[in-house]
Amino acid sequence: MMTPLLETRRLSKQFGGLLALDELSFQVQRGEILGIVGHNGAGKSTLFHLITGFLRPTSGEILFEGHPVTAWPPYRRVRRGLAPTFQQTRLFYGLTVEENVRLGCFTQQRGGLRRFLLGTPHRERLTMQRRVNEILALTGLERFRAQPASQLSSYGYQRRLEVAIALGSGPKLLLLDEPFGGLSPSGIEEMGQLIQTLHDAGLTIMFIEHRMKSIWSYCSRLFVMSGGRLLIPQPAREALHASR
Amino acid sequence: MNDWVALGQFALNGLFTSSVYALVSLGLVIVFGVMKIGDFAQGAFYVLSSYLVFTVEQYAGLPYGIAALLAVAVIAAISWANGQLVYLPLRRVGIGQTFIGALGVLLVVISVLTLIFGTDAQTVASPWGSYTIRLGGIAISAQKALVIGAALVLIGVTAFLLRYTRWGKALRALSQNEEAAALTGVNPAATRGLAFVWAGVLVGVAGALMAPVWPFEATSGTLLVLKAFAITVIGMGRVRGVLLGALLVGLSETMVQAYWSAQFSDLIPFALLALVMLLRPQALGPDEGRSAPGAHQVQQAIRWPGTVYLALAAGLLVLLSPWWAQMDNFWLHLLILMGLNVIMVSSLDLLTGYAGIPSLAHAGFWGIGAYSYALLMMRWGWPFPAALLGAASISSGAALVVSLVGLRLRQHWTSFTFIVGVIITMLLTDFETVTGGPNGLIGVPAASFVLPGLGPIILNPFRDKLGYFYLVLALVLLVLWIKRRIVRSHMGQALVALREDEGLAQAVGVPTERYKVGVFVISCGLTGIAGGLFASYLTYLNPQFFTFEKSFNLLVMNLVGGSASLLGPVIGPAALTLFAEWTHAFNQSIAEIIFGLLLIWTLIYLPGGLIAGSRRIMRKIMPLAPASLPK
Ligand SMILES: Nc1ncnc2c1ncn2[C@@H]1O[C@H](COP(=O)(O)OP(=O)(O)OP(=O)(O)O)[C@@H](O)[C@H]1O
Ligand SMILES: [Mg+2]
Repeated sequence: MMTPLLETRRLSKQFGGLLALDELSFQVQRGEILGIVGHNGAGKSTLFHLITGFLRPTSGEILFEGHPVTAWPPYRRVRRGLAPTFQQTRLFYGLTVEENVRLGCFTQQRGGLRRFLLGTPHRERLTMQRRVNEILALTGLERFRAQPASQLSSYGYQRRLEVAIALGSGPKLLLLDEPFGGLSPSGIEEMGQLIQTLHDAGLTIMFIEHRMKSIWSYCSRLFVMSGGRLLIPQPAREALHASR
Repeated sequence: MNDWVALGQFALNGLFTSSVYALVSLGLVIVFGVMKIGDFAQGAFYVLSSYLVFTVEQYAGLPYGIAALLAVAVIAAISWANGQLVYLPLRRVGIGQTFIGALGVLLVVISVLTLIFGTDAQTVASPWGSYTIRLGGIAISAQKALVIGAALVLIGVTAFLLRYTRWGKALRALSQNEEAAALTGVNPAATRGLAFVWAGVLVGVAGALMAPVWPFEATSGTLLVLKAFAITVIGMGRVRGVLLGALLVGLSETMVQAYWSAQFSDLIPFALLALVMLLRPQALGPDEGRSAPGAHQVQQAIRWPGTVYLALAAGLLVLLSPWWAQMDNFWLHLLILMGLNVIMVSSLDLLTGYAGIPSLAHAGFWGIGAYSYALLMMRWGWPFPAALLGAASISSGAALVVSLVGLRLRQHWTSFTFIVGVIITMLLTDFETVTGGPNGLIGVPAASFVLPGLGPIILNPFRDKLGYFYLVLALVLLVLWIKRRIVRSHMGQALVALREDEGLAQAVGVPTERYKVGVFVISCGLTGIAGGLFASYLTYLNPQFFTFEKSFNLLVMNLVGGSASLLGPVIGPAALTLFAEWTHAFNQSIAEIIFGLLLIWTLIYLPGGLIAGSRRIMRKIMPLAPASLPK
């Protein structure tokens, strides 16, 4: 069997007296869409923060493509192919939509003395612009490119811009923390389609949701989390009952 | 007097000093609770209170007691008004701005006092004459005893107010969590207003009671409020902690003075603070936020054509050279000063404008550059270019150490840089053997170098202003070019990401810590070059050039010109250097007052600075290219 894209081994996180994650072990295979559901405080976001490196586990191990990344800071994991997003939407609010996406592509650009002295070569700049345009097109944000992110009219667009930023680094695994949260039914529909499209383009996706009714059709596998543990893996319908 | 009696006497003196610290720190901590800023203006209100007592006694002929009560009432009112008119509007812009605004008020009030009362120290006669209370071998003047007594009473009253009154409960709720407090029916506006009033009362009492103890001048409250601020941070923003901190600082200062040396005693509160910051960084209360001074709008659609523009400017300047050559020395001198300020502000802008990392230590690093240059030249006889590079490297090295320490703190960065600035000045003053102490260094060698084809060139800063002007101009262009390159590079992207949202920056793969240290080191290195140039041009150095006031002025120049741009930090220093020179011609204090008011006005009403203002006008004249219009 191929090495899984992501693997956690007996991952635990303790906040003071609270055990938020309890020896969690699971694997994510390439090409999956993995949904995680669970009630408030189940430890879903904590799990994501551990995977992305914003929090350090109390014990346990995280492997990405077979490499132990447990001690890596977030930016190294991003370079390796992990793209985090946050439960509370985070954008570069002071910048335009296009600039947001461009910053998302940070890891795709190169520094160095020659580029510092002479500027980025024209061809590289064109490639970058093409990349930004592609992402904008993919996420349906093209017509807002010159708008400040803070003035994006609907929350749905903000959510999509967040995904667009995450796509910039060319990730292998995209982590979405409640991408459907706070969206209208049509917004949920659109976000679902976006996830599907990204999946079709070869991305592995993990996302969190706490109301599972609306989303279970989007994922290929579903975990239910409760009290820092996984009830794994169940067919979606049974999981639905378990979470009630 | 035997040793024990002496010890008792020192302890009592320490208690007296602690009382003053406690009163002022208590005022600060109350404001900090509701505003999350250090209310430095209280340092000016403190001394203003002394002056009010002096004036009322002198000119209205009222007795001391009444004069003191009047002073306290007026200070409470002023403190309240300051909160309403300056802090609350500024807070809507950002915490960093409020912090700077507080310093602005401090400087304005000091200048007003200097304007009215001059620079001579004033005294108020003690109502008790020289009556002294004796306990065994220990003695204390009646007025000092009154200070201790009043402090004890006011501490008790404050504790009571905070614990048992509705206002106190509201205040505590507000300092815990603003949103939650508002939900439980706390009226934030009224609570804040009263906080300012009570802080004014505490500080007013301190000022009024201290008037007869020591002669005072307009700047007497500055060091006091800096120490009090250090104490509030040492006390972790809690009343009990602050009282302990005041006691600790007051006693240790007195003891160090008594048993060791008076030289470094002023450093004690800051050293303690550094210790606390290092040992318990997480316990220091809420995050100050790393909001940059100057609101950052979306990058403008009108772009100034960067490098081309610089090249054109350079060409124009060369073309103009016959005109420069005819300029008289005064104007050349002014242009040189402008150039130095442009280097400093441009490098500061890289830090505050682009990376969103405020610094109130910039003048300190400028000073490190200046002194390094002077010492490298004078002691070791380095050649000019090497000394200039050495100055930049030493500034950078110091910045590396400071930023590595500061990074560990995360919170309180602005206060940290502020304290670093204060400490640098103190070290420059106190290490007499190296830096010449308060008298400074005299006879710093001027610039001399070899230009290919032209042979050795020695510039005499007194006669050859034109030569110096070209030297400074060349370095200004170099620094602007470097800045341009950084902003346009990969690093520039990282800095903007860092400024906009540090967490998100990490999420897109920016090694934020590395860039924070990197930009700080680069920025301080560039300002170190300005330091070396400055030392060589002036030929003498004095620690007073490099105080936090100068750092503050640099920030003002940056904000007034406009941050996160190439031209803003050129326009700002140019305009304000001219302005300062022009106003200094008639009065130094008036210049400072206008400067401070201008700053506060800019912070509130023109957050993007002159450059943003001019862009707005440009856009009216020159409509945007259709491609960049939102469709
Ligand atoms: N930084 C922290 N410090 C202390 N406790 C925390 C911290 N972060 C999370 N917790 C606690 O850990 C538990 C799990 O939190 P987590 O955010 O992972 O839940 P969640 O499943 O994402 O919930 P939600 O659906 O509300 O987002 C909660 O009880 C939470 O209060
Ligand atoms: Mg969550």
